[in-house]
Amino acid sequence: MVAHYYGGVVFIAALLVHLVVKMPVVVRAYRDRGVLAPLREDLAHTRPEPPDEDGLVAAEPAAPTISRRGLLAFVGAGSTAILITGAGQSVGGPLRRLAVLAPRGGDQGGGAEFPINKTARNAGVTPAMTGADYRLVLAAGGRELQLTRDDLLALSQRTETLPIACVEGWTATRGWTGVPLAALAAMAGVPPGELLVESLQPRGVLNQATLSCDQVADERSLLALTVEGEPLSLDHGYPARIIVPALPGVHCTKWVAALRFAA
Amino acid sequence: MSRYGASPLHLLAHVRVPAGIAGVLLLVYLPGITGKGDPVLEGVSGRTLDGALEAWLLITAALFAVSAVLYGVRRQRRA
Repeated sequence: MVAHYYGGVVFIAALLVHLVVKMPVVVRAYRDRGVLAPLREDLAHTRPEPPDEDGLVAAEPAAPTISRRGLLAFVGAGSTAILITGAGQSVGGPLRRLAVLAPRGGDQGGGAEFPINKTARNAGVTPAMTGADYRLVLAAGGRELQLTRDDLLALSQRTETLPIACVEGWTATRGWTGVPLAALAAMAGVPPGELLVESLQPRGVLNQATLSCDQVADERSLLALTVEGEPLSLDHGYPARIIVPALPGVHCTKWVAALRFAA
Repeated sequence: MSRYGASPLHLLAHVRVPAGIAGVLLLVYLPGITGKGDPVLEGVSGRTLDGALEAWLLITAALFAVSAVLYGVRRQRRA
C-alpha cells in the first residue's frame, strides 16, 4: 500500500516539474496573444494558430467548425459529465445515487449498508466459521487468549466515525463501534507494537495484514464489532473487522481470526 | 450569437455536443453498459450493473433533447 503513497508523490512532483518547464511557453503565448483574448472570438472570427518554432501547428488547417471557447466548453461539459457520474462513488453520501453508471455508484442503501469489496462467499468465509464456535485469538510473546464475540462486546467499547476508503475508488464514511486495538494490546500484556492481523478468509492476499506500531497505538484504531449501531453483516466482516484511520480499505481486514502482537 | 445562429454549422454543433458527451460516458463505462463485467462484479461484490444500459440510453436521450430544445430556441430568436 505504501507504493500508492510514493506513486502519488511521484505523480504530483512530475506535474509540478512539467508546469515549471512549460511556464516560459505559457508566458510567451499569454504575452503575444492575450490571456483571454482567443476565447472572445466567435466562430466567424476564429483564426488558425500562427506557425510555431516546433512545427506543431497545422500548416494549412481546414476551416474551423467550432470556436476555441466552444471547444473549451465542449471539453468542460464532457469532464463535468464524468465528474457527476463518477464523484458519487468516491464521495459517498447522497451523491452516490447520481453515479448510476459507476460500478460502486447508484443506490446501495445507507446506514450499515455500503459497497462490498469482496463478499464472504467470494472470500470463502462461511456462516459456520463465524458462528458459536468463533474465537478471536489474541497472541503476544507466546501467550494466547481466546475470546468469543460476546467477550469482545463485554469490553469497553469506543465509537469512531471513519471512512472505508477502497483502492477500487469508492469511499463510505460510517460510525464504527468496537474495542480499541491499544486496549487489546494491553489485554495481551504488551505495549502497542507491530500487529499481524489474520483473517478467517482461507486464501487470497488479503487474508492477513500487518499494522504499524503507530496505527495500533492510535486511539481511533478499532477492532469493530458494529457499524451504525448494527452488528457487522457477514459481507462486511462479521464477527469483527479492523478499522484504522487513513488506512486503505483492503488493509482493514475483515473476519478477523487472530491478532498477533509483536512482543 | 446571431452570426453563429445563421451558420449551417449551427445544427452540427447541436448534434456533435450531445453525441460527444454520450460517447465519453459510453467509453468510460463500457463494461457496465454492455453488461460484460457483470459476472465478475457479481462474484466479487454481490451486485450487478443491471440498468446501466437503460441509464446510459436515458442520459443520451436527455442530452439530445436538451440540445434540440436549445436549437429550437436559437432558431426562434433568429426568425
